[in-house]
Amino acid sequence: MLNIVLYEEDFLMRNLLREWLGEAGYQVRLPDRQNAQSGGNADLVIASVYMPKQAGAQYVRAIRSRHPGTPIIAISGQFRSGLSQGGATAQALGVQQVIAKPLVRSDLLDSVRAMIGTSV
Amino acid sequence: MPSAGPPFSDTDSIRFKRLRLGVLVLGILVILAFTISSAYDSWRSYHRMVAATDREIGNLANALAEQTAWTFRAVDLLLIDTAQWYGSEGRLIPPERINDALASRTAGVTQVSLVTIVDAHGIQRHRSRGASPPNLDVSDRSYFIAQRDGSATGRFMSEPLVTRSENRAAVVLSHRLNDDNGEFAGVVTAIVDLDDIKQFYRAVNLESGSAIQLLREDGTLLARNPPALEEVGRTFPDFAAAGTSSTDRLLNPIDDRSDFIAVAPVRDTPLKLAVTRDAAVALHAWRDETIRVVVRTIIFVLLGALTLAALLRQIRRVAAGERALRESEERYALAMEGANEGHWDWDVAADRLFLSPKMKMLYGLDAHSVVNSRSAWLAQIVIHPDDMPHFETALEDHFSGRTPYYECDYRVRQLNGDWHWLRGRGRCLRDATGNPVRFVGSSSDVTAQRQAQADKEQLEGQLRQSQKMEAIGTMAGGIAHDFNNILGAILGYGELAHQNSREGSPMRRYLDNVMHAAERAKILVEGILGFSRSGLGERAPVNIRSVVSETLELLEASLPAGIRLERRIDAGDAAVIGDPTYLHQVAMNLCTNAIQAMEHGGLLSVTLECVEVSESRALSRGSLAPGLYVRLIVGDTGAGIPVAVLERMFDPFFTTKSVGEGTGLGLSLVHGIVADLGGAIGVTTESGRGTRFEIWLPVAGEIAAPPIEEERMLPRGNGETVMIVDDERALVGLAEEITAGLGYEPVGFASSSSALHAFQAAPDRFDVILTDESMPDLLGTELAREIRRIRPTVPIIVMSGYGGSQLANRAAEIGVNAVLRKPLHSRDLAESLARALRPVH
Repeated sequence: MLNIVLYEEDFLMRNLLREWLGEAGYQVRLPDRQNAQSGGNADLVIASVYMPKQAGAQYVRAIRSRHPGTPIIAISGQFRSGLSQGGATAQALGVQQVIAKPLVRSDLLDSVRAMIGTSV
Repeated sequence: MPSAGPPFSDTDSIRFKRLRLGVLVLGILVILAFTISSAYDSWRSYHRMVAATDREIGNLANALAEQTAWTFRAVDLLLIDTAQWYGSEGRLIPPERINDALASRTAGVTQVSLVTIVDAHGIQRHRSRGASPPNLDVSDRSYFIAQRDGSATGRFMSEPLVTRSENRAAVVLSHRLNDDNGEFAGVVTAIVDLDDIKQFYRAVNLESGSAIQLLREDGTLLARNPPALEEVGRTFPDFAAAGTSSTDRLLNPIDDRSDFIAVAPVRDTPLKLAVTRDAAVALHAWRDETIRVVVRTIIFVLLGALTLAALLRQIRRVAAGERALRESEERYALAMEGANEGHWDWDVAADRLFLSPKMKMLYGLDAHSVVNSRSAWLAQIVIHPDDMPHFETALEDHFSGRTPYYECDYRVRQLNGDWHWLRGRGRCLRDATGNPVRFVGSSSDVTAQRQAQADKEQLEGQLRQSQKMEAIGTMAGGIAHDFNNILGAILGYGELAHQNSREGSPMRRYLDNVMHAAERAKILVEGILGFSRSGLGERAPVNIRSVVSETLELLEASLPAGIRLERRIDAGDAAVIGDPTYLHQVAMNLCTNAIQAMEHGGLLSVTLECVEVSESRALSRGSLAPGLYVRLIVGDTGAGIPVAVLERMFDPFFTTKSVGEGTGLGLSLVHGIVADLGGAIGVTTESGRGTRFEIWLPVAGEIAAPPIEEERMLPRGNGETVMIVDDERALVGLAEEITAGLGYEPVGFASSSSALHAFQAAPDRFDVILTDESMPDLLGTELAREIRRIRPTVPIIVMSGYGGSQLANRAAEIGVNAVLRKPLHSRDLAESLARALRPVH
């Protein structure tokens, strides 16, 4: 079973994503806030980024160092539509994929599948 | 301004030094001349006094000597006569009668007290008075010896002596008696009583300090007046030695005083007469006068010296005062010059106006022009017509006493035609009734300050604007973040609910509406992210030339009649970091705005060029750091932008278009994009002449233009009418351009509602519908649904910036022919249109 670590502060969003991903057969873990090293092994990280131009970039770096080598999908309400996979924005943030909120279920699941494949 | 000259010049101090020296020399000369004159007078007076004294005592001596000579001459005659008588007759008469005869002869010669006859042996034989003492021997007497020995020739005069017979001070004169043989027979003597002579001298009224001396030639004193009995008989060789020259002076041995002396010989006698006068007495008057003169001179010299000192001091004061005045004037002039101020002085009643040269220059006049009255002044200067009212008001207010000081800024035309701002400040002096009599003040050129102030205000405005935008951006970012989470939940759960609801059930319909509402909210948030610069978009080096060229190509085909496009694309392969879609949006927005500004036609000029900025500059929106920039200039010849609009046109949701025609996000999007890319915007506009937008974007190296797709044969239309709906006017233009190029007849609409109205009005007019999905009032799919209700067979193509299964689902549900992804490519559009109009069966 494929592991996905989900960083999402908004509980509505968190629950929705857990539902979508769980239904698609992925195991979703929420990081333990108290234990910074609790990243552990994961197949994919999905991180919601607030203010990606300023503080958000720092936040993404912290997550990346916590999950070295793990692919990351950054999602944000402040991305503008029309972002491409592996584009300049993703490169600037140091992630593999960026998706603008509000998420469309199929967009998200397509991206996840493209990156780590279908969960058994 | 003419130079005020060097600080207190040397020539002035030299002038005063010379004046002081001159006064000093003159003063000293006057004092010296006076002193010399006094000394000379005194010297002259002394000599006159000496000469007068000499003359006086000389005359006196001569007169007395003559008188004395006569005295002795009488005695002499008596002796000669008596000697003859005795020789011839006397011896014949009895000896007892001889005495009587002698007495009778002697009578009448008062100075002779006694006449005697002495025999050859020195025995006195006869005498004129009394009887001779028996055997009175005088053979030891000088007068006897001198005659006996023949050493005396004729008469002999003895030294003063005291007579033996009468004990009287006297001199004895003797004469030789000869016998018949001529042998010595004795002497006849006459005793001359000196007292008698003294009495005569006493009768002469002598001044005090004067004395008369009768001396023998050897200096023996015989008589003196005033009397000096103890000195008589003493010999004073000095007297004898004293010559007869009138200047002689002598230390008088008698009284030990310095005396003037005049000596006169007594004729026919061995006597001299000396008159002396005490020099102290003789010169007393001169001395008194000299003392007076000296005192007078000293007083005069002192007064002169005092006057001189006072004069010199006064000159020094005047010099110091003049220097102070001069320095004060210089300081004033320097201060005026330093402050770059001119000043005026207007005598109101007489209308006499004084303007300093600097003032004239400030007024745009020649520094040497003649301006003597206010009317002449007003006639010669040009005040800006806009400033005339408040210029006059300020003066009037001050003259009527409403303002304590006059202060006014106004523009004056200079010689070269420029307008300069002057700040005049002054105050009028009033008479007792408060009427202004004199108006004095100064003016300075404040053009630079006012310009600096305007620049500062503009900068502050920009700062405020950018702070405002930053605040909006922060707020918009926060809103977008939260809203998109909320919308995500609504859409996500909505979709799940949608899936679980039964098709055709009311629940499904309710959920559809929820989803539609959420989609619209999503579009709004997207717009907010665009202008607020808070969103994060794609960034890559973009060849700006190709972006602008593409935009212009699209525009050119759809230019309204009467508008000409003039382009100058000259930026090489300069690259700008950004998103080509957004850059395209910028160019398109500016061009469509420019075209809309020219309702009656005009010239649209588009310039793209690289510009090196050497120093920081502030523009209307944002500022430029030094560096290389690419500048996109979009100019129109339209109506211009009113000031009120100019200030707000970059604000989001601000629009001059009527409701439904525009979102009001166009320029704020442009601004957001440009600012996001580190650029700046400059706007210049002139009412009735047009507007010019300048977009400055930093150049980031070079990048080759993307290869132009090889031209494949595109399926073309045949004049079919295409309804094009997009809330972004630029994109309407783009789609119109493409479709027109493909041989269709495009009709553009900027909002879905206006498009729907048009379709309702003429449903058969349009052969195919091409609509954007994301629009504020009706979504593209909603519009499609409404249109299909009216005319179910019309082909519909939906465009969208982002795909997604929802849109695909909705589109399929409505039966939309195709969903196209933006940005729009002509190949996709051409093929979709062809397929929609001519379905392959």
